[in-house]
Amino acid sequence: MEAFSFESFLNFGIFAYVCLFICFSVVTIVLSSIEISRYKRKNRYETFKPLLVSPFAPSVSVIVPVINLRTSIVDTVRGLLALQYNNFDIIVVIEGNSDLHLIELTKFYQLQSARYSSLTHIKTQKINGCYRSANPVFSKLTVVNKTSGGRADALNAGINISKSDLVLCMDTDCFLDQDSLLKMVKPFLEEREQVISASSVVHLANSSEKKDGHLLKLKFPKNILAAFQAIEYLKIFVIKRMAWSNINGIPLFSGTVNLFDREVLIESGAYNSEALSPDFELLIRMGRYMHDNAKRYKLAYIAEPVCRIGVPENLQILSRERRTWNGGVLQALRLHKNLFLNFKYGRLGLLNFPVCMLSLCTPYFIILLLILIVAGAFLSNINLEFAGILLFTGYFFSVLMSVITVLYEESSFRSYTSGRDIIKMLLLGFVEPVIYQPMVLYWQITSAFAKRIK
Amino acid sequence: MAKVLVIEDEELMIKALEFRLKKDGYDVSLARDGAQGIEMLSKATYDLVITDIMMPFVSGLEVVSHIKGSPVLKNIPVIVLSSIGLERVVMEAFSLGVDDFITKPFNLGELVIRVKKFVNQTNVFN
Amino acid sequence: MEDAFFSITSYLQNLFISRLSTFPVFIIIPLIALVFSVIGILEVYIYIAVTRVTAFYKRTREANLKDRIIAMLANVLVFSDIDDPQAIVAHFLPRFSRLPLYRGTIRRLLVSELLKSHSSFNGRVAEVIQELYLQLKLDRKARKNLSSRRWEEQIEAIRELTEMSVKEESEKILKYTNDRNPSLRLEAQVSFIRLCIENPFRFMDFVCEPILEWHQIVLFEVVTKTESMARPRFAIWLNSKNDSVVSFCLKLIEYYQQFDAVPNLIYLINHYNPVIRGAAIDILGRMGAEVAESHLVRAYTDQPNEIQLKIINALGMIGSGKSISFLNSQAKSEDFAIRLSAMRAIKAHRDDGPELLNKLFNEGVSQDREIIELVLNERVIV
Repeated sequence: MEAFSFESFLNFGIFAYVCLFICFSVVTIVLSSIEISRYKRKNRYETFKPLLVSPFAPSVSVIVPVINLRTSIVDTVRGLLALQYNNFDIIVVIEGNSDLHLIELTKFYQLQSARYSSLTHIKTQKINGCYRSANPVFSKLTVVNKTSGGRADALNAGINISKSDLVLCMDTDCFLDQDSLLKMVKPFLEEREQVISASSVVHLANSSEKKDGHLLKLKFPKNILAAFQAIEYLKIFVIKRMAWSNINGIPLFSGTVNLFDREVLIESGAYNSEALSPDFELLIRMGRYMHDNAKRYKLAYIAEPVCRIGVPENLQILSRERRTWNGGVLQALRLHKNLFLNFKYGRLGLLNFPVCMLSLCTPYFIILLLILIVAGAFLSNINLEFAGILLFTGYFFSVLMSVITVLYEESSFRSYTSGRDIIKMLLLGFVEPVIYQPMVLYWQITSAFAKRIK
Repeated sequence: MAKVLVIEDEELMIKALEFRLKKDGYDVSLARDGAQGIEMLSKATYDLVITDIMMPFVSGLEVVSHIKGSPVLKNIPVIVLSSIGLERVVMEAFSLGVDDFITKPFNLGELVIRVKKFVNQTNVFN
Repeated sequence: MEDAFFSITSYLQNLFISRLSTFPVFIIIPLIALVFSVIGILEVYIYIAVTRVTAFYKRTREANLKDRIIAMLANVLVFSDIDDPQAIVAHFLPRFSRLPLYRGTIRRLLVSELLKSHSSFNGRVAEVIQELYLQLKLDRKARKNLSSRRWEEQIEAIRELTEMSVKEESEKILKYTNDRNPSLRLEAQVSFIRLCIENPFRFMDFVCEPILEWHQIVLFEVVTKTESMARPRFAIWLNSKNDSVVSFCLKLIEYYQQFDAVPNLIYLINHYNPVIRGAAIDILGRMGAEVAESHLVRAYTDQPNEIQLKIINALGMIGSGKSISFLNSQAKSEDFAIRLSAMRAIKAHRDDGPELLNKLFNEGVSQDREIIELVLNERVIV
């Protein structure tokens, strides 16, 4: 009798998880396809040319913190200066000991010391110097040198100095398409609710040809770890974030490139320099601020890739990065735990937050199930055939999700034009649930314990 | 026969310019993007360059900057075509040394007259 | 290998055919899901392969067609600025008529190239393209699609007819200028402005849907680029109940420097919507409307902080000298932003602004002196 109920319990547990996983995935796919279709239909007939020439285009500051950069900063800046937009400036914030970058920029762009004024007083580490170019051709560029304080602190320094309506916060490993600003600014002008932030689909830049800060052609990464991440990024940006955007939610994965309404960002308190995932934590705070002030808002999502990013190809660096992100998400959720099921915060508290928390619980549930299966197998208490069927269902469904992701990418953006790249992605879908996803689960779980031990 | 290089990514525009200029007796070479244009400039001499501004990867202004920055090429007159007549872009083009700036929509006959003027100037100069 | 294959197939056969009905529900459902997943994976593979191959063939075929059409059109364009447009069209029409225009792809490609060339060239070339379009009766489908149920088709039709200046359809298009669909609404508004140049802003009399910021940017670009267009007094719409109409007209009033609208702008200083209020105040400043100064000063105290800053900026831009004492008083405000704005405004006052600021410098405390130094420094303020 006991064995029967343990086996039933285990089988029911796996069945419930598999069902939930399937339902959740189907809902995500449906929401995502609605969103892609909506975006494509809306923008099929629009041209960005009026925004390019308009005197009413909102001003944008592109803020780039330079931290531990091993390559040349000049190329990054050159790529940014070529952005097609009427009204923007670039603020490069060099942290701490990166004198080499400052010297390089000074030489290339004829920088001179400049004074600055700031009406906002976000607390940051000390600013050691501010520089602008003597050459009017580079009048868009401002370089700030400050004491080390981390990425969030550097962004805050840039926000302090900026006088624009919008701020684009990015990293040095991002390559923006030339029309990226046009595409990201547009939602701020066409939505009925106030748009407080805009982000976009992100593809990988690894293995792609680069020249003068531009990416020439997108190629599927050669490195296996980067290849897995390419599929993962597609799943995150093409499916999950698209679905979140449909319900105006803050996705767990909020980093890379974000365009913010500067005023709302400052009123919300700007970046938290203690946060491990500063963008995610900031978006929650901005959402809270809007709810607290009874203002309707929208988090815009550009359903096409305007940015490419380089990802780690080294396992150690990748695992450290992932542990930091996951730790950051946990930290942010803990910090704002009073949002959980709080009616005052509408969708943010009733839907967004619980779903984020559920997503974070998934790895634990999977580990628990696996432990039970192994235990059951040793005690010969479970029907291995049933357990196998359930596990295979989970596996093939996971493969189906990867393959559907590739299908979405094919039918909407076609960024990977080579047939070979598509075949690689489709085949990797079979390997990914077995090799890469367990690694991701492992990082998710260890990041939680690492935080606790800390 | 004067040699003209046309750099333009839009197919109909490039064909129209090619046919029209050939009809007026010019030897026309075509480049479909800025990089190809720069490569062709390194291989042959031209009496005039007509280039669009908005092209992927290597813009027309970069081509102009390359021409006017080179001691060998800087005397070649450059006419820029653009669908964007933004003051800032015009100023930037002229500050780079562009000889003429034409915004679309433009009059094809007028362009041909300007081409004749610049080619004659170059010949007189030579 | 063969044995393994046979044993797997017999196991699957046994599982799905013989034993399926004996399993509990929580195994049957996952088995069905498993089958769907496997079939789904295969279907996606096949779909991607088929779409890639058909897209390749379609692209190649279209590229060939496109090259032929472009070559034909280029020939037309070459002669267009030399000879009479009617003669050119009469000469080339037979060749174009022989194209199978009943085929959607060919019509689409031809119309697309005609539209592109019409927007790139003006003068006789544009006339020839337009005449060719009409003579080939390519407008028939567009006129029909104006009443289509699909808004995408309506937009394409409106765009085509507008580019080819088919003015007869402007009344039909006017209907859509107040449509709920923002993309269709914008397209109709742009089209109406371009087609009906005698009274292009008629839709502003009745439009209740908002003219979004993005739409205002597009419309502004169209209005300011259309040369021969009747330019009304935009002030007549400043009392519209639709705030977005007011906001759009403010932009146009400033662009066209319609000084007769100043009394209406002054009235807007008390508008219920702070965005409109702020925009009106900014424009009064930029237009240098001295008559508005006293009204701005009077309205100052009851306004929220952002509007107060705008009033100070506007007074600085007007710079008549009459509000110097008011600005001096604000230069001593407790609010840092107000102090800074006031000092900037004083500096902008005629030629003696810097002198007045220096006077304040001598009277002021150290923080104020720092601000004044910054304001006076012409070079590089970030």
